[in-house]
Amino acid sequence: MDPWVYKILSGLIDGLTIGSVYALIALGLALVFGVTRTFNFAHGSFFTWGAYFAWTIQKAFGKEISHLVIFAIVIPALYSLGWVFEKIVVRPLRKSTNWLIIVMLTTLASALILDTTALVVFGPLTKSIPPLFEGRVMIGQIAISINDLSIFIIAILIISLLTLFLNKTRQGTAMRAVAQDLDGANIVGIYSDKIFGYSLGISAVLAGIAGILLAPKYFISPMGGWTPYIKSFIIVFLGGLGSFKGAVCAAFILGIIEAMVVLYISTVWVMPVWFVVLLIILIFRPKGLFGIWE
Amino acid sequence: MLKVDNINFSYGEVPILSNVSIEVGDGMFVLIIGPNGHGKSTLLKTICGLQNPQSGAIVYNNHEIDNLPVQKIVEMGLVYIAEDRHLFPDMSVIDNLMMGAYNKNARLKEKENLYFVFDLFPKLKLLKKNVASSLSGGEARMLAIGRGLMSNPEFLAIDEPSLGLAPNLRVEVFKKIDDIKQKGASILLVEQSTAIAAEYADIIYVLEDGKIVFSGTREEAFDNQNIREVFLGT
Amino acid sequence: MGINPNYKMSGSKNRNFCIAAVLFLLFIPAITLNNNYLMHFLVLCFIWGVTAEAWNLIMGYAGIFSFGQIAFFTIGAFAAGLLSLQLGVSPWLGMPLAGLITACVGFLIGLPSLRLKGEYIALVTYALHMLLGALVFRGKAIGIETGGFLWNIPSLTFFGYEFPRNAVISWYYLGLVLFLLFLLFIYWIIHSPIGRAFVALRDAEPLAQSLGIDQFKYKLIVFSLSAFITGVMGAFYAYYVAVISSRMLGLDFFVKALIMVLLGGIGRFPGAAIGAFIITIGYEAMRPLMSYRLIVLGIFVILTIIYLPGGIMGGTDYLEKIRKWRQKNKELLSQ
Repeated sequence: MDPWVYKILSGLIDGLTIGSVYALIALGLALVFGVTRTFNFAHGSFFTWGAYFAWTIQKAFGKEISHLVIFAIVIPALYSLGWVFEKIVVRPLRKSTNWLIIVMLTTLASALILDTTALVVFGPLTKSIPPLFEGRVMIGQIAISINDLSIFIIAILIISLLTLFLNKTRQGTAMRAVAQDLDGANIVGIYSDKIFGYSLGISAVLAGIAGILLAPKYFISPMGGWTPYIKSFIIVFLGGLGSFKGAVCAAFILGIIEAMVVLYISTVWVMPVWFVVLLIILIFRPKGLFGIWE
Repeated sequence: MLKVDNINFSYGEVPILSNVSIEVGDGMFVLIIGPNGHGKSTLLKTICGLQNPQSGAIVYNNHEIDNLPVQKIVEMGLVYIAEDRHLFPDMSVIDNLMMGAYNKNARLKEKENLYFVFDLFPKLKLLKKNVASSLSGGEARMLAIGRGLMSNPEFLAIDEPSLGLAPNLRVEVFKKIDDIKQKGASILLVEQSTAIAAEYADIIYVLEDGKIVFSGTREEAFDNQNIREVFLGT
Repeated sequence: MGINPNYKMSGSKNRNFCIAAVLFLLFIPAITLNNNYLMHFLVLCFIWGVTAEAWNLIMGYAGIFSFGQIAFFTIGAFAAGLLSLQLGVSPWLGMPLAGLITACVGFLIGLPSLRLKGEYIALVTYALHMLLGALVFRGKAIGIETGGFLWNIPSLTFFGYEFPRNAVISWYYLGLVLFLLFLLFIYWIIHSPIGRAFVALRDAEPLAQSLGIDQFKYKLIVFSLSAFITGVMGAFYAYYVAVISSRMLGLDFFVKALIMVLLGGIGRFPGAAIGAFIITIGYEAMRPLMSYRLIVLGIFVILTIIYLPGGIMGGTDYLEKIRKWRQKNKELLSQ
């Protein structure tokens, strides 16, 4: 195989892997925005805390512990965190005027609290957890790390489960109903407050799992959630506000772009290139790729 | 069945409803008419739990509902069909209808009610896979009423169902509503285009400036010259 | 959290308070015997006081929920620093120039975004903040050192006297002058036809619009003015501390500035300035708590939003509410 073909293919594979994880985080953000119409500025903190939870479990039970167990413990923990968060920080303010802005402010303050708590509890030094699997596998002439492969599979699995949930279950459809017309949802008897809570719980789980999946490669630090958060921001805007499938597509596109930029230029240029791509797309499609929003 | 007793509602400092009292008996069709912007929609919204009155009581089937959230009121069988319809734009007709059956009492009667809705509105059955945002005004209106029926109502509060519809469609909508009433539901209707609606009403209230200025049977309303000219257009 | 239309600082009571406060501030160096530590914090109070009021101007009066105030501050600071370091511009010129540059940025950002709905302005301005972070951090091309640092920003020289780096007093008086100047400027804007237009827009939008008040134009003007003011204060800050970095764009700065505005009460002049004083001094007073300070700050923000939507200046509103509630319940209780 030509070396340059090899390079492109491995870039693509990296891009798909990172894209799948970005899709998780972005979906979480898109879900919250779609359902509650507000951006959760503490989303990045959930990413960080997911990773820290995993690290703590590992410290307590030893490095040999299976990731399955970690997920089994962390998922409910994250879900409760997200749900409680909604109850304390978001819900009481829904009755105020300008509540959308106010919720943005309170989630921002919460991010500060969560990040600083992480700093105080875990210290400023970066931490890491071992990858899910070691070793590589050969597909044709290309070597792919098994860890990357499993990350991709796990992420796709979760996305598929989420899609199934939203489309085929009653509560999932109710969630979509709340996203599409809040008043309509209320008058058919959907308790939209509860749905808000679910959406934040689910988004916390998505962000946290993404944090765990990326932790072996990118390390865990108290403020480490901001870059993924900013990236998911851009992804959601590119995909189009209010579109879940837009968020997933945009995540993969930008993931591949990132992998290519890292491969051919340097890591430093990823964000500027992303911004430029976003700007260009917004000029031609101001609502984003699949945007259905005003 | 429904008794509204002296309710007051203000939006901030602005009073919208002042000492409004109305009554809807079992199986009755009650019509509320009056000039636009004088509180008709607000009255319905307050009864249905989307807003709470500042004072007064609302009693439905011997339960006080003035402080309950709309979801609880729907569970009790009092269903609101909004003027703005509030359909789920990206969901299909059938999905919209199934969402109508969300509340726990409606879920048990899902199949029955769906059958009834399709019987009443055959067009909806044809369009069942179509996305709600692609429906015409009349079809959307039918879907809104159909969705409301899926909530298993004993009492329907409908806000201006004929708004924006062509005259022949208007007649049809009111006929359908009367059909629903014949099945045993109580109807509280708010309307602007009143001549047609009045034909089916048992009791008529006139709401002006947030106050009830007339209440009486259909015959009494038609006998009253003022009402006849101003609101009933004859 | 409503926007309060009670702008007027009515009554001689308030006026006397202001005069007393100004006199007090004028004589601080004498009172504190030239205590550098204390005066340093007052200078910071001046800087943040104006910035917070400028933010209050757009959020509370013009109703623009912008998350870009710190971005403007940073642009002003870096513009001034770069102008003086790279182009040798005198700091006295640097400050207004930095203000103008920031105002231009504000204008350019405002043009497309001020027509959008409230939430989108917040997002766009937040995007500006994030973008700025990336730019500043990697600004090698324009002379910013790695990590977004600018070192050795020159000091001001006043008729041959160079403002020293180890004594605060000259900075203090300059800061005080700027503080009073800009607060008066903001006060003037609020009571000018533009300010009154915003009251009209808030209280009776259809009527106001029918009278031809162009909301967008006024918003753009106020937005750019606020950017100018903030830019100048950012520049002053840069000259004062001599070293600036991308740390300015950190979450903690943002939340601090935000709580100043919230605490003072959105839309109540000069609440934000008072808030600035409380937070700056309070934050320093919490120093023994070290990193926990930020947690306390965050909790404080949330509590303020939930329980004190009118801020401190809204306190009188609360007393009114409580009084009315008591009256109403007395009637019920006595039945």
